[in-house]
Amino acid sequence: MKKGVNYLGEFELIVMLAILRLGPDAYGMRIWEEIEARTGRKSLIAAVYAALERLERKKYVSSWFGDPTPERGGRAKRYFKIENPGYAALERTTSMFISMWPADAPVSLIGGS
Amino acid sequence: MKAEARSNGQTLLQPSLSVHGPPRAAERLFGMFIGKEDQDAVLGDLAERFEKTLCFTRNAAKAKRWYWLNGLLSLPGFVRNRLSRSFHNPEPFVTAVRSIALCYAAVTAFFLILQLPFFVSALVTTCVKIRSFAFSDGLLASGFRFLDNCWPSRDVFYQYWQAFIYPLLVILVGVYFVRISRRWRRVFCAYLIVWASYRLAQFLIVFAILGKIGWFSDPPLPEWLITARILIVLPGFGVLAGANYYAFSLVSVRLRASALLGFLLPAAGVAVLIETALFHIWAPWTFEFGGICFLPIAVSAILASILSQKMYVLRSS
Repeated sequence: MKKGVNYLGEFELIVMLAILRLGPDAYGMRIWEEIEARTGRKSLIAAVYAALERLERKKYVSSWFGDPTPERGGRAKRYFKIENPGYAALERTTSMFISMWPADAPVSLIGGS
Repeated sequence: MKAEARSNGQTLLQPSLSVHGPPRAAERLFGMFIGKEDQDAVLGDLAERFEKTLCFTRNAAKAKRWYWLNGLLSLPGFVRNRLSRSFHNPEPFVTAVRSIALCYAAVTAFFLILQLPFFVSALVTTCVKIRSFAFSDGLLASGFRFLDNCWPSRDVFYQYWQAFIYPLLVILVGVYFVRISRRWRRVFCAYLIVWASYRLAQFLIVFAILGKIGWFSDPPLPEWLITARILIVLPGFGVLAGANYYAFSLVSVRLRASALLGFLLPAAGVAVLIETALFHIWAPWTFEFGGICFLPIAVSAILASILSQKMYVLRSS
Protein backbone atom coordinates (compact mmCIF):
# COMPACT_ATOMS: atom_id res chain seq x y z
CA MET A 1 0.00 0.00 0.00
CA LYS A 2 1.34 3.39 -0.98
CA LYS A 3 1.95 5.68 1.96
CA GLY A 4 -0.77 8.31 2.44
CA VAL A 5 -3.13 6.61 -0.01
CA ASN A 6 -6.46 5.73 1.52
CA TYR A 7 -8.52 2.78 0.46
CA LEU A 8 -12.14 2.25 1.33
CA GLY A 9 -13.17 -0.29 3.92
CA GLU A 10 -15.58 -3.05 2.96
CA PHE A 11 -18.72 -1.39 4.26
CA GLU A 12 -17.58 2.03 3.05
CA LEU A 13 -17.18 0.57 -0.42
CA ILE A 14 -20.68 -0.92 -0.29
CA VAL A 15 -22.13 2.40 0.85
CA MET A 16 -20.29 4.30 -1.89
CA LEU A 17 -21.53 1.88 -4.53
CA ALA A 18 -25.08 2.20 -3.19
CA ILE A 19 -24.84 5.99 -3.53
CA LEU A 20 -23.49 5.54 -7.02
CA ARG A 21 -26.36 3.26 -7.98
CA LEU A 22 -29.06 5.49 -6.51
CA GLY A 23 -27.75 8.71 -8.05
CA PRO A 24 -29.86 11.74 -7.15
CA ASP A 25 -32.19 9.60 -5.00
CA ALA A 26 -29.43 8.64 -2.56
CA TYR A 27 -30.65 9.41 0.90
CA GLY A 28 -30.25 7.47 4.16
CA MET A 29 -33.21 5.11 3.93
CA ARG A 30 -32.72 4.33 0.23
CA ILE A 31 -29.02 3.62 0.77
CA TRP A 32 -29.91 1.36 3.69
CA GLU A 33 -32.54 -0.46 1.63
CA GLU A 34 -30.29 -0.73 -1.41
CA ILE A 35 -27.54 -2.34 0.65
CA GLU A 36 -29.97 -4.86 2.13
CA ALA A 37 -31.61 -5.59 -1.21
CA ARG A 38 -28.38 -6.01 -3.19
CA THR A 39 -26.14 -7.70 -0.65
CA GLY A 40 -28.77 -9.55 1.36
CA ARG A 41 -26.95 -8.30 4.40
CA LYS A 42 -29.01 -6.94 7.27
CA SER A 43 -27.50 -3.74 8.53
CA LEU A 44 -28.45 -1.14 11.08
CA ILE A 45 -29.31 2.44 10.24
CA ALA A 46 -26.62 3.61 12.69
CA ALA A 47 -23.98 1.62 10.80
CA VAL A 48 -25.00 3.23 7.52
CA TYR A 49 -24.88 6.71 9.03
CA ALA A 50 -21.55 6.00 10.72
CA ALA A 51 -20.05 5.01 7.37
CA LEU A 52 -21.58 8.06 5.68
CA GLU A 53 -20.23 10.29 8.44
CA ARG A 54 -16.73 8.87 7.97
CA LEU A 55 -16.92 9.27 4.21
CA GLU A 56 -18.11 12.84 4.59
CA ARG A 57 -15.26 13.61 6.96
CA LYS A 58 -12.83 12.28 4.37
CA LYS A 59 -14.58 14.53 1.80
CA TYR A 60 -15.52 11.53 -0.31
CA VAL A 61 -19.20 12.39 -0.12
CA SER A 62 -21.17 15.54 0.55
CA SER A 63 -24.66 15.86 1.95
CA TRP A 64 -27.53 18.31 1.96
CA PHE A 65 -31.03 18.33 3.35
CA GLY A 66 -34.08 18.11 1.12
CA ASP A 67 -37.52 19.45 1.89
CA PRO A 68 -39.62 17.83 4.63
CA THR A 69 -42.01 15.22 3.26
CA PRO A 70 -45.31 13.97 4.72
CA GLU A 71 -44.47 10.27 4.39
CA ARG A 72 -41.63 10.84 6.83
CA GLY A 73 -43.77 12.66 9.36
CA GLY A 74 -42.61 16.05 8.08
CA ARG A 75 -38.94 15.25 8.41
CA ALA A 76 -36.33 16.21 5.84
CA LYS A 77 -34.25 13.72 3.87
CA ARG A 78 -30.48 13.92 3.92
CA TYR A 79 -29.17 13.35 0.43
CA PHE A 80 -25.64 12.19 -0.36
CA LYS A 81 -23.48 12.68 -3.42
CA ILE A 82 -20.05 11.32 -4.26
CA GLU A 83 -17.37 13.99 -4.67
CA ASN A 84 -14.25 13.81 -6.83
CA PRO A 85 -11.96 12.46 -4.06
CA GLY A 86 -14.65 9.83 -3.45
CA TYR A 87 -14.61 8.73 -7.08
CA ALA A 88 -10.81 8.53 -6.90
CA ALA A 89 -10.97 6.41 -3.72
CA LEU A 90 -13.59 4.16 -5.27
CA GLU A 91 -11.46 3.65 -8.36
CA ARG A 92 -8.34 3.06 -6.27
CA THR A 93 -10.02 0.45 -4.10
CA THR A 94 -11.64 -1.47 -6.94
CA SER A 95 -8.41 -1.39 -8.98
CA MET A 96 -6.61 -2.78 -5.97
CA PHE A 97 -9.05 -5.71 -5.82
CA ILE A 98 -8.71 -6.32 -9.55
CA SER A 99 -4.92 -6.15 -9.48
CA MET A 100 -4.80 -8.56 -6.57
CA TRP A 101 -7.09 -11.09 -8.21
CA PRO A 102 -5.08 -14.02 -9.60
CA ALA A 103 -5.85 -14.92 -13.20
CA ASP A 104 -5.93 -18.63 -12.41
CA ALA A 105 -8.18 -18.31 -9.38
CA PRO A 106 -10.83 -21.06 -9.14
CA VAL A 107 -13.54 -18.38 -8.90
CA SER A 108 -13.96 -15.44 -11.23
CA LEU A 109 -14.03 -11.82 -10.10
CA ILE A 110 -17.64 -11.36 -11.14
CA GLY A 111 -18.86 -14.51 -9.39
CA GLY A 112 -19.26 -18.12 -10.48
CA SER A 113 -16.46 -20.51 -11.26
CA MET B 1 -53.59 8.52 1.85
CA LYS B 2 -51.54 6.23 -0.24
CA ALA B 3 -49.16 7.12 -3.02
CA GLU B 4 -47.24 4.96 -5.37
CA ALA B 5 -43.50 4.90 -5.32
CA ARG B 6 -41.10 3.11 -7.56
CA SER B 7 -38.28 1.25 -5.96
CA ASN B 8 -35.90 -1.22 -7.56
CA GLY B 9 -38.20 -1.64 -10.50
CA GLN B 10 -41.12 -2.66 -8.32
CA THR B 11 -44.20 -0.66 -7.56
CA LEU B 12 -44.66 -0.37 -3.84
CA LEU B 13 -47.52 0.97 -1.86
CA GLN B 14 -46.15 3.81 0.15
CA PRO B 15 -48.62 5.63 2.34
CA SER B 16 -48.12 8.91 4.10
CA LEU B 17 -47.79 8.44 7.85
CA SER B 18 -50.67 6.16 8.69
CA VAL B 19 -52.73 6.03 11.83
CA HIS B 20 -50.15 3.52 13.06
CA GLY B 21 -47.23 5.93 13.17
CA PRO B 22 -43.89 4.86 14.63
CA PRO B 23 -44.10 4.40 18.41
CA ARG B 24 -43.79 7.83 19.94
CA ALA B 25 -41.95 6.60 23.01
CA ALA B 26 -39.36 4.94 20.77
CA GLU B 27 -38.95 8.11 18.72
CA ARG B 28 -38.44 10.15 21.85
CA LEU B 29 -35.95 7.63 23.24
CA PHE B 30 -33.92 7.38 20.04
CA GLY B 31 -34.04 11.16 19.68
CA MET B 32 -32.07 11.44 22.91
CA PHE B 33 -29.22 9.46 21.44
CA ILE B 34 -29.17 10.76 17.90
CA GLY B 35 -27.29 13.99 17.24
CA LYS B 36 -29.43 17.05 16.64
CA GLU B 37 -28.04 17.37 13.11
CA ASP B 38 -29.06 13.82 12.24
CA GLN B 39 -32.36 13.62 14.07
CA ASP B 40 -34.55 14.61 11.15
CA ALA B 41 -32.73 12.39 8.69
CA VAL B 42 -32.44 9.29 10.89
CA LEU B 43 -35.88 9.42 12.51
CA GLY B 44 -37.38 10.24 9.13
CA ASP B 45 -35.64 7.25 7.55
CA LEU B 46 -36.81 5.00 10.34
CA ALA B 47 -40.36 6.36 10.00
CA GLU B 48 -40.33 5.80 6.25
CA ARG B 49 -39.00 2.29 6.65
CA PHE B 50 -41.58 1.65 9.35
CA GLU B 51 -44.35 2.67 6.96
CA LYS B 52 -42.98 0.32 4.32
CA THR B 53 -42.73 -2.54 6.80
CA LEU B 54 -46.29 -1.83 7.87
CA CYS B 55 -47.39 -1.75 4.26
CA PHE B 56 -45.80 -5.12 3.50
CA THR B 57 -46.70 -6.95 6.68
CA ARG B 58 -50.11 -5.35 7.32
CA ASN B 59 -49.38 -5.93 10.95
CA ALA B 60 -48.91 -2.86 13.13
CA ALA B 61 -47.55 -4.83 16.07
CA LYS B 62 -44.92 -6.50 13.90
CA ALA B 63 -43.91 -3.20 12.34
CA LYS B 64 -43.60 -1.60 15.77
CA ARG B 65 -41.51 -4.51 16.96
CA TRP B 66 -39.28 -4.03 13.95
CA TYR B 67 -38.98 -0.31 14.74
CA TRP B 68 -38.08 -0.86 18.38
CA LEU B 69 -35.59 -3.61 17.61
CA ASN B 70 -33.80 -1.69 14.88
CA GLY B 71 -33.67 1.49 16.93
CA LEU B 72 -32.48 -0.23 20.10
CA LEU B 73 -29.78 -2.16 18.30
CA SER B 74 -28.65 1.08 16.69
CA LEU B 75 -28.40 3.00 19.98
CA PRO B 76 -24.70 2.25 20.62
CA GLY B 77 -24.01 3.29 17.04
CA PHE B 78 -25.90 6.57 17.49
CA VAL B 79 -23.92 7.34 20.65
CA ARG B 80 -20.64 6.47 18.95
CA ASN B 81 -21.53 8.72 15.99
CA ARG B 82 -22.28 11.60 18.30
CA LEU B 83 -19.11 11.15 20.30
CA SER B 84 -17.03 10.92 17.18
CA ARG B 85 -18.68 14.04 15.77
CA SER B 86 -18.20 16.02 18.95
CA PHE B 87 -14.49 15.24 18.92
CA HIS B 88 -14.23 16.49 15.38
CA ASN B 89 -15.38 19.91 16.47
CA PRO B 90 -13.58 22.58 14.49
CA GLU B 91 -13.23 24.85 17.52
CA PRO B 92 -9.91 23.91 19.14
CA PHE B 93 -10.65 25.63 22.45
CA VAL B 94 -13.96 23.85 22.95
CA THR B 95 -12.36 20.55 21.98
CA ALA B 96 -9.53 21.15 24.43
CA VAL B 97 -11.89 21.99 27.31
CA ARG B 98 -14.01 18.95 26.51
CA SER B 99 -10.98 16.72 26.39
CA ILE B 100 -9.75 18.06 29.74
CA ALA B 101 -13.19 17.53 31.25
CA LEU B 102 -13.33 14.01 29.88
CA CYS B 103 -9.82 13.26 31.16
CA TYR B 104 -10.89 14.59 34.55
CA ALA B 105 -13.87 12.27 34.51
CA ALA B 106 -11.72 9.35 33.36
CA VAL B 107 -9.12 9.92 36.07
CA THR B 108 -11.83 10.20 38.71
CA ALA B 109 -13.42 7.03 37.38
CA PHE B 110 -10.08 5.29 37.58
CA PHE B 111 -9.70 6.21 41.23
CA LEU B 112 -13.24 5.14 41.91
CA ILE B 113 -12.55 1.79 40.34
CA LEU B 114 -9.86 1.52 43.00
CA GLN B 115 -12.74 1.61 45.48
CA LEU B 116 -12.75 5.26 46.44
CA PRO B 117 -16.19 6.55 47.24
CA PHE B 118 -18.08 9.68 46.13
CA PHE B 119 -17.40 10.61 42.59
CA VAL B 120 -16.48 14.28 42.82
CA SER B 121 -14.87 13.99 46.20
CA ALA B 122 -12.14 11.48 45.61
CA LEU B 123 -9.65 13.54 47.57
CA VAL B 124 -12.00 14.06 50.50
CA THR B 125 -12.94 10.45 50.76
CA THR B 126 -9.35 9.33 50.43
CA CYS B 127 -8.84 11.24 53.68
CA VAL B 128 -11.88 9.47 55.14
CA LYS B 129 -10.48 6.13 54.11
CA ILE B 130 -7.03 6.76 55.51
CA ARG B 131 -8.54 8.18 58.66
CA SER B 132 -10.86 5.22 59.17
CA PHE B 133 -8.00 2.78 58.78
CA ALA B 134 -5.68 4.81 60.95
CA PHE B 135 -7.98 5.73 63.82
CA SER B 136 -10.64 3.05 63.86
CA ASP B 137 -10.30 -0.65 64.16
CA GLY B 138 -8.92 -0.80 60.67
CA LEU B 139 -5.94 -2.25 58.90
CA LEU B 140 -3.31 -0.58 61.07
CA ALA B 141 -4.93 -1.70 64.28
CA SER B 142 -5.82 -5.25 63.36
CA GLY B 143 -4.58 -6.26 59.99
CA PHE B 144 -5.01 -9.96 60.67
CA ARG B 145 -8.68 -9.63 61.41
CA PHE B 146 -9.32 -7.61 58.30
CA LEU B 147 -12.04 -9.84 56.88
CA ASP B 148 -13.80 -10.33 60.22
CA ASN B 149 -13.60 -6.74 61.20
CA CYS B 150 -16.78 -4.72 61.19
CA TRP B 151 -15.38 -1.67 59.37
CA PRO B 152 -13.86 -3.55 56.49
CA SER B 153 -17.00 -5.68 56.22
CA ARG B 154 -19.02 -2.59 55.64
CA ASP B 155 -16.35 -1.21 53.33
CA VAL B 156 -16.41 -4.38 51.32
CA PHE B 157 -20.15 -4.04 51.01
CA TYR B 158 -19.76 -0.44 49.86
CA GLN B 159 -17.08 -1.35 47.40
CA TYR B 160 -19.38 -3.62 45.47
CA TRP B 161 -21.78 -0.90 44.55
CA GLN B 162 -19.45 2.08 44.64
CA ALA B 163 -17.13 0.43 42.19
CA PHE B 164 -20.04 0.13 39.81
CA ILE B 165 -22.41 3.01 40.49
CA TYR B 166 -20.03 5.93 40.88
CA PRO B 167 -17.82 5.19 37.89
CA LEU B 168 -20.99 4.90 35.87
CA LEU B 169 -22.07 8.30 37.10
CA VAL B 170 -18.66 9.76 36.34
CA ILE B 171 -18.73 8.30 32.85
CA LEU B 172 -22.18 9.77 32.32
CA VAL B 173 -20.94 13.15 33.55
CA GLY B 174 -17.97 12.80 31.20
CA VAL B 175 -20.26 11.98 28.33
CA TYR B 176 -22.37 14.99 29.22
CA PHE B 177 -19.30 17.20 29.19
CA VAL B 178 -18.78 16.25 25.59
CA ARG B 179 -22.09 18.04 25.17
CA ILE B 180 -23.82 15.36 23.24
CA SER B 181 -27.20 16.84 23.80
CA ARG B 182 -29.34 18.67 26.27
CA ARG B 183 -31.67 15.71 26.12
CA TRP B 184 -29.11 13.67 28.03
CA ARG B 185 -30.32 15.51 31.08
CA ARG B 186 -33.35 13.26 31.06
CA VAL B 187 -31.10 10.25 31.15
CA PHE B 188 -29.28 11.80 34.09
CA CYS B 189 -32.52 12.53 35.89
CA ALA B 190 -33.64 8.93 35.40
CA TYR B 191 -30.25 7.73 36.55
CA LEU B 192 -30.34 9.92 39.64
CA ILE B 193 -33.75 8.60 40.59
CA VAL B 194 -32.45 5.04 40.28
CA TRP B 195 -29.30 5.98 42.15
CA ALA B 196 -31.16 7.71 45.01
CA SER B 197 -33.64 4.80 45.25
CA TYR B 198 -30.80 2.34 45.30
CA ARG B 199 -29.00 4.15 48.07
CA LEU B 200 -32.19 4.51 50.04
CA ALA B 201 -32.94 0.81 49.70
CA GLN B 202 -29.40 -0.04 50.63
CA PHE B 203 -29.52 1.93 53.82
CA LEU B 204 -32.96 0.71 54.71
CA ILE B 205 -31.93 -2.90 54.30
CA VAL B 206 -28.40 -2.80 55.61
CA PHE B 207 -28.82 -0.52 58.57
CA ALA B 208 -32.34 -1.42 59.56
CA ILE B 209 -31.95 -5.20 59.35
CA LEU B 210 -28.26 -5.97 59.68
CA GLY B 211 -27.81 -3.13 62.13
CA LYS B 212 -30.51 -4.58 64.39
CA ILE B 213 -28.86 -7.97 64.60
CA GLY B 214 -25.59 -6.32 65.51
CA TRP B 215 -23.56 -7.29 62.50
CA PHE B 216 -21.90 -3.91 62.53
CA SER B 217 -20.60 -3.19 65.99
CA ASP B 218 -17.98 -0.52 65.68
CA PRO B 219 -15.79 -0.05 68.71
CA PRO B 220 -16.40 3.26 70.47
CA LEU B 221 -13.69 5.85 70.10
CA PRO B 222 -12.45 8.07 72.96
CA GLU B 223 -14.51 11.23 73.35
CA TRP B 224 -11.56 13.56 72.82
CA LEU B 225 -10.72 11.90 69.50
CA ILE B 226 -14.26 12.29 68.23
CA THR B 227 -14.29 15.97 69.22
CA ALA B 228 -10.89 16.56 67.63
CA ARG B 229 -11.98 14.92 64.44
CA ILE B 230 -15.14 16.97 64.27
CA LEU B 231 -13.26 20.22 64.94
CA ILE B 232 -10.30 19.62 62.66
CA VAL B 233 -11.33 17.21 59.95
CA LEU B 234 -14.86 18.31 59.13
CA PRO B 235 -14.07 21.92 58.10
CA GLY B 236 -11.34 20.42 55.96
CA PHE B 237 -13.88 18.12 54.31
CA GLY B 238 -16.14 21.06 53.64
CA VAL B 239 -13.37 23.14 52.07
CA LEU B 240 -12.02 20.30 49.97
CA ALA B 241 -15.42 19.11 48.83
CA GLY B 242 -16.52 22.67 48.10
CA ALA B 243 -13.37 23.33 46.06
CA ASN B 244 -13.91 20.11 44.20
CA TYR B 245 -17.51 20.88 43.39
CA TYR B 246 -16.68 24.46 42.49
CA ALA B 247 -13.95 23.40 40.07
CA PHE B 248 -16.39 20.95 38.60
CA SER B 249 -18.97 23.71 38.27
CA LEU B 250 -16.49 26.12 36.65
CA VAL B 251 -15.74 23.65 33.90
CA SER B 252 -19.42 23.05 33.38
CA VAL B 253 -20.19 26.78 33.34
CA ARG B 254 -17.52 27.17 30.70
CA LEU B 255 -19.34 24.52 28.72
CA ARG B 256 -22.73 26.04 29.59
CA ALA B 257 -23.71 22.78 31.18
CA SER B 258 -24.67 24.39 34.44
CA ALA B 259 -28.36 23.66 34.08
CA LEU B 260 -27.49 20.03 34.74
CA LEU B 261 -25.51 20.86 37.86
CA GLY B 262 -28.40 22.99 39.05
CA PHE B 263 -30.21 19.70 39.36
CA LEU B 264 -27.43 17.19 39.90
CA LEU B 265 -25.58 18.75 42.81
CA PRO B 266 -28.56 19.67 44.98
CA ALA B 267 -29.97 16.22 44.25
CA ALA B 268 -26.69 14.66 45.33
CA GLY B 269 -26.72 16.89 48.39
CA VAL B 270 -30.27 15.92 49.28
CA ALA B 271 -29.50 12.24 48.75
CA VAL B 272 -26.53 12.56 51.07
CA LEU B 273 -28.65 14.36 53.67
CA ILE B 274 -31.22 11.56 53.52
CA GLU B 275 -28.45 9.07 54.01
CA THR B 276 -27.15 11.05 56.93
CA ALA B 277 -30.58 11.04 58.52
CA LEU B 278 -30.89 7.31 57.98
CA PHE B 279 -27.47 6.77 59.46
CA HIS B 280 -28.57 8.71 62.49
CA ILE B 281 -31.86 6.83 62.88
CA TRP B 282 -30.81 3.26 62.24
CA ALA B 283 -27.12 3.19 62.93
CA PRO B 284 -26.29 5.89 65.46
CA TRP B 285 -22.99 4.22 66.29
CA THR B 286 -21.78 5.02 62.79
CA PHE B 287 -23.03 8.59 62.79
CA GLU B 288 -19.82 10.13 64.06
CA PHE B 289 -17.95 8.56 61.18
CA GLY B 290 -20.24 7.90 58.29
CA GLY B 291 -22.96 10.43 58.81
CA ILE B 292 -21.48 13.67 59.92
CA CYS B 293 -18.63 13.73 57.44
CA PHE B 294 -21.17 13.86 54.62
CA LEU B 295 -22.84 17.01 55.97
CA PRO B 296 -20.19 19.47 54.76
CA ILE B 297 -20.07 17.64 51.45
CA ALA B 298 -23.81 17.99 51.04
CA VAL B 299 -23.79 21.65 52.06
CA SER B 300 -20.88 22.49 49.79
CA ALA B 301 -22.56 20.67 46.91
CA ILE B 302 -25.64 22.82 47.29
CA LEU B 303 -23.60 26.04 47.73
CA ALA B 304 -21.42 25.25 44.73
CA SER B 305 -24.45 24.60 42.59
CA ILE B 306 -26.00 27.93 43.65
CA LEU B 307 -22.72 29.71 42.83
CA SER B 308 -22.42 27.99 39.49
CA GLN B 309 -26.03 28.90 38.68
CA LYS B 310 -25.30 32.54 39.50
CA MET B 311 -22.23 32.45 37.31
CA TYR B 312 -24.23 30.88 34.55
CA VAL B 313 -26.89 33.60 34.78
CA LEU B 314 -24.22 36.35 34.85
CA ARG B 315 -22.46 34.82 31.89
CA SER B 316 -25.66 34.41 29.93
CA SER B 317 -26.73 38.00 30.60
